[in-house]
Amino acid sequence: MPQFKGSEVISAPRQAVWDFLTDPQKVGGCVPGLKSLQVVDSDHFNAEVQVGIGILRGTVKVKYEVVEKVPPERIAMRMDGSGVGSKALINATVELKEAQQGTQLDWVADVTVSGTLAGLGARYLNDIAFKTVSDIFKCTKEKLSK
Amino acid sequence: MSKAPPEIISLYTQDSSALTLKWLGKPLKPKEDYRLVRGRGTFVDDIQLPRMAYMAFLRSPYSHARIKRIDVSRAKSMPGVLLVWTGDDIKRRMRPLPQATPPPARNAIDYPLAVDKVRFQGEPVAMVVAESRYIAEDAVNQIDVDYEPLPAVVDAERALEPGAPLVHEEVGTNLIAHVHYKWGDVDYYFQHADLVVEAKFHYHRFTGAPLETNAVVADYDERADVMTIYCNNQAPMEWLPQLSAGLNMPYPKLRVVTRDIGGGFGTKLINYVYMILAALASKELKRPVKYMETRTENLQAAAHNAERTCTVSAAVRKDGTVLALRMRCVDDDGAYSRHEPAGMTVWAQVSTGMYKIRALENDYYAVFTNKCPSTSIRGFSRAPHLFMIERIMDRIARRLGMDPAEIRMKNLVGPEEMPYMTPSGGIYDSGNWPEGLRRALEAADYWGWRKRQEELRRQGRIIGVGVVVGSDSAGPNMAQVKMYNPGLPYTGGTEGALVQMTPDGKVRVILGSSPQGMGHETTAAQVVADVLDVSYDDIYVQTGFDSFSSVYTMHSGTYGSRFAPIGLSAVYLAAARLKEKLAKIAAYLLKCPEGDVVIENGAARCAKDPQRSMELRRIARIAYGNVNELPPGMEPGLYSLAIFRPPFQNPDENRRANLALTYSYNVHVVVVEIDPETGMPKILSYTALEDSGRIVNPLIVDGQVHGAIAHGVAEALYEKYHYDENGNLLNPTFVDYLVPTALEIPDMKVIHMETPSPFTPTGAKGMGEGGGTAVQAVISAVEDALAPLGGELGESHADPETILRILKGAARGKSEV
Repeated sequence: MPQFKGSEVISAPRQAVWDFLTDPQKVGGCVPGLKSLQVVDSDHFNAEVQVGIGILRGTVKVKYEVVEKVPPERIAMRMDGSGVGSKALINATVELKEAQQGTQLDWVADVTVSGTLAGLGARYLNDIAFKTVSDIFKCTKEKLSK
Repeated sequence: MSKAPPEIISLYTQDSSALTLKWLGKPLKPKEDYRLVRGRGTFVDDIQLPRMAYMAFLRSPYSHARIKRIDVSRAKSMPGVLLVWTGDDIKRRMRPLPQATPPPARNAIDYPLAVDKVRFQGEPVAMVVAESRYIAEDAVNQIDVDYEPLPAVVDAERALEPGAPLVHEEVGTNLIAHVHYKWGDVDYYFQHADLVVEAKFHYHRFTGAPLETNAVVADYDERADVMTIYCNNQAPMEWLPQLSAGLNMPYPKLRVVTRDIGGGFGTKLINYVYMILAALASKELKRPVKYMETRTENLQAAAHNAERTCTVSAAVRKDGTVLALRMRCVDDDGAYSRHEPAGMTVWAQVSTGMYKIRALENDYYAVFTNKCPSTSIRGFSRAPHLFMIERIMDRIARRLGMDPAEIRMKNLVGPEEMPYMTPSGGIYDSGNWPEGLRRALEAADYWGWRKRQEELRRQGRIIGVGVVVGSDSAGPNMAQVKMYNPGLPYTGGTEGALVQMTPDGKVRVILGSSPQGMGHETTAAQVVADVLDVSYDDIYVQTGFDSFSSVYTMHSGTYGSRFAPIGLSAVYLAAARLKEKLAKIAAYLLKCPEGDVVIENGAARCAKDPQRSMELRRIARIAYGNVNELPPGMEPGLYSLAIFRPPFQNPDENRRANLALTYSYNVHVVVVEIDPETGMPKILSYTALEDSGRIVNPLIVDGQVHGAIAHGVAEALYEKYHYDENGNLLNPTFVDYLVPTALEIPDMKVIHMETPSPFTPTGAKGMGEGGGTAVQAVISAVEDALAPLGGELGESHADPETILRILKGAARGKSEV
């Protein structure tokens, strides 16, 4: 699986972005297709997510864990998804830099998918993986810009 | 090598004197089709029993991973869930599945549910039985498994390298078995050859994709302590030891039933794992349990063919005579040996192909990989082997500047040498192969196409012509397994049949086979009608197999194209014995010398006095009810049971043996044109000549030829499994695994020759697989099209991507893909 990258410029102070990303309730709310969210502690949450890729539809359970925090510039997270006969592992790192219009958010993610999803979605999995991760940060941007 | 010795020929030659040839060879409407085309067949999923529960599986997303923890608590607590089991639950209830492999591969531990580790993607990890399939599937989603992913081994040759990840740690190697075959003085021929042609080929991974997937209903009757398993297994008796061991029940308590089966193509040989699981669950719950596999489960995890990679060297004379072959082959058998490594010996049925090749050496390996377990898909092991030989024949022809048809004609075994004994002891029973080739070339206008090909090439069109001579060896000698494991107590190749004339003069037939659409009810009825000379409409053949009433041996079943040579021979013998008994009774009642009794048109008469005759149904009534009229001392009833036993022998110390009873042959001539924009080959012309001995029913024979061509064309151009380097199967649905539709199948011209086999009483030969000739012929044609551009195909599959790569490479220089 390739590595995905993306950037967003968010018109909010860096500390506000940091606070958002380290609040499981808030960042969890940005997971696409969220059905339920159960916060364990400030670094962990469990979510149930509705997925629909081609003919493959169902619920995926996601375990979210913060693995590294360097306030207020860097956060590394791990999302472990399982369901619909598949496993998905996303390791993402987010870097926050002060920018003219607010905060620049640069993210990098490694995605590994196994199981039915890897087969069924083989042709468009890259697009979907990219979209899923980038949606989280797009959502972050939208919510903070309000 | 040469004509078989007379004592061998007489050993094999069968008496066919009971045939009247009134019903054989006629295009009679298949008996089973009337119900099947109206949707009235009975398949496993049609079976509904009171209180039936439904089984579903959690399957592994990883091709190779350690199972760290399984939490089934949430699934167990769901309403409607009756049972949730993991590998540990199964391990407590049964011993591991017996392994037919030699040590150390025999140490592999195989359970129907994964224990501690998963070894291929889609392997069952846990099972749920619930009140409905919906509940069962929902509960499967509530099972949590923690896996520790492990590096996967997906390349068979790399699997043998030191340091490769081990599929089974307890084996200590990925090698399943290694056999070195050497027949004839290979070294001498290679020393004295004018040239040596060498190439490496890969036979790819595909499946049979039957319309009906694997299915089972297990029904434990607690009061009788009898387990009934309705299944669609192709050879239930072959696996009864596994079932008996798995369930700890003796054979007389274990009833295995097949009814109509919606296609098998070999894929349904290893579905016994589901039979065991459903049966264990039924025994636990004391309720019937049904499992019906989904299409994705079938494509991902049911059964693939073993991939094969061979390096082939041929010792050749300048005139095109092929003297000897030297091969090194590796079979990729997947994660478990559930049927394999039989494929590492079965190819030896057709060791030197169709040719007078004098010597052969084959250094053979079979290995475990983290892929779906393999079994015997259409043309099992022989099709890949003949592929290797036919491909090297084309390469030799190109090196020598000979036409591919000419080099084949030069090397084909001639009719004067039949029955022909191969260097490995195979006995090709009959046929006129050069004449078959001549007729096929003529019917296909081969030489005309060669001329047109030149003209069209000058216009820039990419045209290829392929010609292949193949064999559909049939009716296997199971002693072939001794070649890789001499200790296996499994030899010969037999089948049973019961023919009973009932008191009303009708005839009831029970077979040991479990057909999947091959028309056994029809052909068995034709043989019985022919031998007894009664009406085809008065013959009633029981559908399917039932271990509580069918006549069986441990070979019973429908695989290896065995029904025509072996099953029908048992039917013939049973009917002939019944005819003898009818004649004895008639002689007594008609006061006619036994030798003068003639049985024809449903009656017995005395040849010397036609007035003295009686209908068979009168004899039948007497035989069952009016028994004081029977000859003194004669046992009442008209039951006739026969088990046909070909005179097979075990391989000798040099692994020489005849491994099949009959050898149908076929010649396919294919013309393709390649679209330079898309790389897609289009079949312009397809001609097939088939000689399967005496034709029992031409409709069925033609159907088999059409099916073999459709599957072969698909294997060559459409059907191929793609695994990524982590062992993810990338095309487990019909969206990406391309089973052809009618649109992809070319018009085909099928012509016949009919050389009866001397080794079967009916003269019929097995022809249910087609020998892979279609795959070879299509690839031969595609390579012929690409050859002037410098491209050669290294595989049995040529998709547009491969072909475009060759076309692009052609601009830059020679390429091999």
